[in-house]
Amino acid sequence: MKGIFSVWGKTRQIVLIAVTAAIYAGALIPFKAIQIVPGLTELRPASVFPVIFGIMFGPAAAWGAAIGNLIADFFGMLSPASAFGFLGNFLYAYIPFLIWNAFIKNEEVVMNLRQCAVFIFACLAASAVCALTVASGAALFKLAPFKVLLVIIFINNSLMSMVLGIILMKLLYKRLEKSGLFYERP
Amino acid sequence: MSYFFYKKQDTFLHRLDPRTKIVSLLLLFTIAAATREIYIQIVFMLSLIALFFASRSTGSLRRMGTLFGTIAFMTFILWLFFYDGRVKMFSAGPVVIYKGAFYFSALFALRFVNLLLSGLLFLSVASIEDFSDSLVLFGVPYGVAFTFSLSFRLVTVFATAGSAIVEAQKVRGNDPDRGGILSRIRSYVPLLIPLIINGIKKAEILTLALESKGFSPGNKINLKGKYKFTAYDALVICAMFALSAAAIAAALA
Repeated sequence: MKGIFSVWGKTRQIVLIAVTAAIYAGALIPFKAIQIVPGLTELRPASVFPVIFGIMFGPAAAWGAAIGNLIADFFGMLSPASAFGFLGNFLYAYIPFLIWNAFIKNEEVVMNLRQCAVFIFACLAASAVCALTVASGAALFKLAPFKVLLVIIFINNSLMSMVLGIILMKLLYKRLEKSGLFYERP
Repeated sequence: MSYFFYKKQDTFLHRLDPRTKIVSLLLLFTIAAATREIYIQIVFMLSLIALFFASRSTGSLRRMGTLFGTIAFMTFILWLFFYDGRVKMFSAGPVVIYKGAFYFSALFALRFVNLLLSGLLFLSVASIEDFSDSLVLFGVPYGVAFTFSLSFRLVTVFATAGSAIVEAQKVRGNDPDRGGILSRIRSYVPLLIPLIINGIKKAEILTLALESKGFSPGNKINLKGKYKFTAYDALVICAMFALSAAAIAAALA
């Protein structure tokens, strides 16, 4: 828990927060959503970012996901639910970090069967918590029925992060590890 | 191309202190959320639209009008079927519409649109600088306000880079808009990798640039004299508080 706030004291971590936030928010614009039911259900490719960045960069990525989602709301969708979006997206990136670090310790990341299983578990848990947080916020203001929003957000986040995330982790993890920006516990 | 809604104008709303803009936004949210009468929501919506005209920000309304209309329609339809009342008005198999569903669906749809319009009005009259400076003025540490400001500025960079990557991949025959859901999801991989690598490289360069210029998260910024809290600001905040209190009192009554 200490690491959540200590990242704000380091220039490198602050830049990482800003960059992950900007990539997440910036990717929401050009990478169009895949519409399933127009206006209601869509898949956002950018949903993969909080999960993989969370695993790689830890609390900095969690703050980045929260700020990135708020910035995305600044493209015209700012409402009281944005506060719940902030919290939901923070958890959406922070939970995979906790789960990954609990199960994968000091081993090479090659995305074998065990690592894929842990990754899928992390995606499902994070998507469920994020969906619960955002849907509760929206339901509080009666913006949408709780059950509908819960299911939509859970499916959106989990499907995209699982399918794209495993491929991106396999292709990018080792490459980005060399950058020296990965989170190291104090 | 700007992805944001703010346009520099010389209007009463643009001239307000950034703290007044943020407090007013929160109070506008309170009014929209507390109001339980359809006619008051309609009056509130018309007032917000009038403020768009007063702030010469009707361009933002035109840009988001269709989306807000779709959201209102979908909200109405959803609540029509999911509103849980006591007396059944219509039922056919699993579909049940309760008495009062039409009223509450319309109320919730109007409320949603009014919340979005309040947010859009704020985005049209407050710049990114206003937002990050007001965070400092409210006592948020400079490091946090700086991160917000930097993120906002980098979004345009990454969005432009993302658009270029999408176009380049389309030219190479990788069109993410074609095929089934899984093949479309997979086709995003070659689009996302360059964006991530580009971003991480930028993080390394930015860190060096900031440290070489003496940036430290513990730095303080002096905004004394940049903003002035005038009598107009006080008047606006008082009026907004009065309206919010009236909305809450009416809701409780």
